[in-house]
Amino acid sequence: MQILVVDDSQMMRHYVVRTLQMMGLDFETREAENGRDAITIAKMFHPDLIITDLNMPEMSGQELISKLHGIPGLMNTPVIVMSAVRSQGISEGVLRSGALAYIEKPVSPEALRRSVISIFGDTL
Amino acid sequence: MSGERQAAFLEPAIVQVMETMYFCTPLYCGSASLTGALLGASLPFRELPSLVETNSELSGELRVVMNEELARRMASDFLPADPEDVTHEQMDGTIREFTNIACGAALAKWMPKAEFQFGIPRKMDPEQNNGLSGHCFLVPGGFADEAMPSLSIIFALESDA
Repeated sequence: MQILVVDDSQMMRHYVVRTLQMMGLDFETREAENGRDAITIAKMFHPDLIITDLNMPEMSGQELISKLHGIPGLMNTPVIVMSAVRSQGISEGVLRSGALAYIEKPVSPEALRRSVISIFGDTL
Repeated sequence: MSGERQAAFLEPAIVQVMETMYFCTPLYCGSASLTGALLGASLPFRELPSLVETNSELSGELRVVMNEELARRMASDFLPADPEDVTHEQMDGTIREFTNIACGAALAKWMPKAEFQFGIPRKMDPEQNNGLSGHCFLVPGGFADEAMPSLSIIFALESDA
């Protein structure tokens, strides 16, 4: 499995990767600091899953999802969005735009695990 | 808003953030004026909330003052890396992310039904916090002097709701 982790915080990217490692998954990761870099990397890396922050400079997580919809080969890539903003309106908007899950920060290992399993289920 | 009212939602918010992501439980030790060693050895950041589709008027900012030792330890745990190898940039990144998450957690505890968005944290001059009152937390391993608060939150947000 290939996972692209997108967050302007290096700490947060490391946290997500380490949490995934603790799940015992066999995966390869790439990291990006913003949505724009994520698209460039995704075109080469073809991730099975993108886990992205919402609030980022250059290009937000929501813009990233919107752009992915227009890119052949990436338009169906599952996306999990993380954000410190705890707002029902914003989380609903993110899910309507195509994200499969919205996780509030602080992200617990259990919340991340649940979201990944809800997408891949028994294929993990 | 009184300091007691602020503490009522700030304490559980900060404890939740620290326990979930940093695996330690901070101890709230009241509010104090941020001066001297506490401010001089710290790395201050601020988060500027802004309003979108909210059901209340919200303005102001939340500031985080974190002791350098705590920032170094947290960055060291996250990377992972030896504490001596952690750079100032990595410590800044740690506080920036903590500030972001703490702001979201505090606002959610304060006004759980409000719709809000907020800005990206930015570093500030420590002198700008001199004399301000902050809600202080003792974090295990966060300061050479264990009696010295290693984390302070200056909550300067107001709502007209």
